[in-house]
Formats: sequence, C-alpha cells, structure tokens
Amino acid sequence: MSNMRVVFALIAGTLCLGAPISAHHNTATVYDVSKDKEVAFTGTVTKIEWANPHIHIYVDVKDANGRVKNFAIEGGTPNSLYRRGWRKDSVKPGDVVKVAGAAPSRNGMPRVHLGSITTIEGRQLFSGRD
Amino acid sequence: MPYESRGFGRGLFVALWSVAALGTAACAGQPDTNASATGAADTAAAAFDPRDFNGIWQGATQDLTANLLPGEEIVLTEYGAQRYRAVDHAKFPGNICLPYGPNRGMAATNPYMVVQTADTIAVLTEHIDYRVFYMNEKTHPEDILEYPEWMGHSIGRWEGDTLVVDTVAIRPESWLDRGGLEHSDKLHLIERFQKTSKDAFTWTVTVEDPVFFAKPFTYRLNVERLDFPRLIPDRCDDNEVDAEHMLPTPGAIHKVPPTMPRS
Repeated sequence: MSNMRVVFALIAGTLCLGAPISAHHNTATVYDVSKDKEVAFTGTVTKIEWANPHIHIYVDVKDANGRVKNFAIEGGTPNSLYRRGWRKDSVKPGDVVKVAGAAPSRNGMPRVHLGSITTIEGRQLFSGRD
Repeated sequence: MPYESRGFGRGLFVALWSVAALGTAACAGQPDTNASATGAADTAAAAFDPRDFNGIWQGATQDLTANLLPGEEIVLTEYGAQRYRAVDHAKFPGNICLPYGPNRGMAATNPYMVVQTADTIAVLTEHIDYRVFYMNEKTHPEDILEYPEWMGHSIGRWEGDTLVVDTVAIRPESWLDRGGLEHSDKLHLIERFQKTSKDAFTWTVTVEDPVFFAKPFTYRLNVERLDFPRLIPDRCDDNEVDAEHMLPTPGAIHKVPPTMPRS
C-alpha cells in the first residue's frame, strides 16, 4: 500500500496545537516540540493502550524500502480525552491512520507525541496535545 | 489535640470520597436550604450560595507569572535565583508521578472536586491527591513543620463570604507551577476563594517563602465549574513510560521572568 510509506515531512501550520500540554510532565522533556520538526506518516494501528497517565497508540509504519517499524504515539490523558468524547475503541487495531503534526522523540526512539490522527476515510479521531 | 485533629481529617476524607462517589449533583444541592418551591425566581436566587464550593472545578495555568495580580512581581532571593537558573524540566517531580503540591495541584489540566461540610472542606484531585481545610482549627499543629506533607496542612476561616485558607508544611520537592518556580519548606500560602457566580469563583493565592522569594507575591485564577458529573482518576503510576526517555530540558518558562536579586 503506497500510503503506508513513511512520509516524514514538514507540516504547514494548519493544526492549532497550542502550547504542548501534558498532565504530568513537560512534553519537551521527551519530544522535540519545534514546529519545524513536526512529522507526518501513515500506518496501521497494532495496539491501543488506554491507560494513565497518557494513552498510547502503536502503529506499524513502512519506510521507503519496505521495512516496517512500530511507532508509539503518545496522546493525552484518558480522562480529558473521555470528556471530549473519545473512547478507547475510537481507533482500533487494523485501522489505517494518518498521523500529522506529531512531535518526534528527542532520543531517536520510535516515539512521537500526537498531533492528530485521521482515518484513511478522513475521520479525525484525536487532535491536540493535552 | 493536633494529632487527633489530623486523624479525624483522614477518616473524614474516606467518608468524603464515598460522598463524592454519589455524584456532584447531590453535593451541589446540599447547602441550598432556603430554596422555595413557589417560583423559578426564588429557586434561581437560592441557587447562588456564595459559601457553597461543592462541585467539580477547573482553573488551569502552566505559568503563575501569567496570573500575577496587577502590580505584583516575583523577586527572587540569591538562593532562589540560583535555583531558578538551574531549573531542569526533566527533574519536575511529577515526571515520576510524585504529587503536585497545592499550587500546581489546583492549577493542573485535570479538575478537582470540592466536598464541603461546616467543619471540613476537602479538595479531591484527579491526580489522586487531596487537601483538607480544617475550618475549626485556629492554629496549625505545633510540630507540623517537622512533618511536612505534599499538600501541606491547611486551616480555613470565613471572612464574610470569602473562604480564607492558611497552609504551611508543604514538602519542598513540589513545584509551584509547570514553568519552573520552586519553593522551600518555608512556603506559606494564604488563599482566598470567592464565588463570583453559581458556577465560578476566583482563587487568589499569596505566596510567601523567604528562602526563594524576597517578598510575597499574589496571583489569581478564575475557576469554573466543570460540566461533567464525575471525577476520572488519573493515577499516573498506571503506565508511566516517559521518564526513561527524558533528556535534560533546562530553562524555566515564564511569561514574566522573575526579578533577579537586587545587589
């Protein structure tokens, strides 16, 4: 699937992310939150961790050479996401999702901090960092 | 006496959690003893009780300097300046799920519930910390500074319809805000809670800490009732995986940089 390739790219400022917010730590301690470092990619969800203090969505991403790497996408706190209407099955294993506006890890690990996730059909599932 | 007082508070806290589990709707109606069934106007008037803080509230800020009252400034001592210059966000206690302390705990992105009786007011946070304001105690326990707690020891009183809370014995590991303001074990808070409507109040906090700050300063948050019927606990230890990935992140982040010592 062509859209499964990693498409790390600069993202235009169309996402209103605001200041990085997370419940228990400064996002910048783990992630490079510079606007010009934001990344985007498309992948297949392998696992959801709806757990405190922050949710994690794991996604298999294929690079240009066909190699697959599993990325951890860190999101907001379950309580704040729940209050905003999201549920732990809002995205499921097997879903193909587009991730945009994500902050890459500073230590080079395959981790990003969520900007937004959109299904392949165009339904936005999560947005914002909180 | 002081020991019995604290023990009573902890027992009461358990009971208050039970009350909290019944939902805020019941809490909100508790002090409303003057409500009339004769008309909507009477009911609406009775709904605003300036001394009723029951309910779930939220008033968040990452940066206390953005909430300083007009004319207020934060002036650091020599030691405070030394610590301020050395702030590293990777060392924030919350990174490893330690409690927030009262200032940060009541200004976090998670809301908190207030459960109120005539004798005791409890603040229950989603971060699973709590504060108890002892309304019948006139002084802090004599030895409380030898036994500091994450949320400190608080005694409350009414000045008119303003709830005034005096807090000491706060463990020095907590930060005052996410921006990087730290404090010592000499921290003394004077908080004023003033209802501005049925669903809002101001939380005005005066911070005294002669170890870190050359003079007291005061900040204020506008706090609003959360339109949601329950707390959802945020037990950080459940799945904390970020700490191992953290790298040094120096530099306090404040809209209004504190004033360095005048030497």
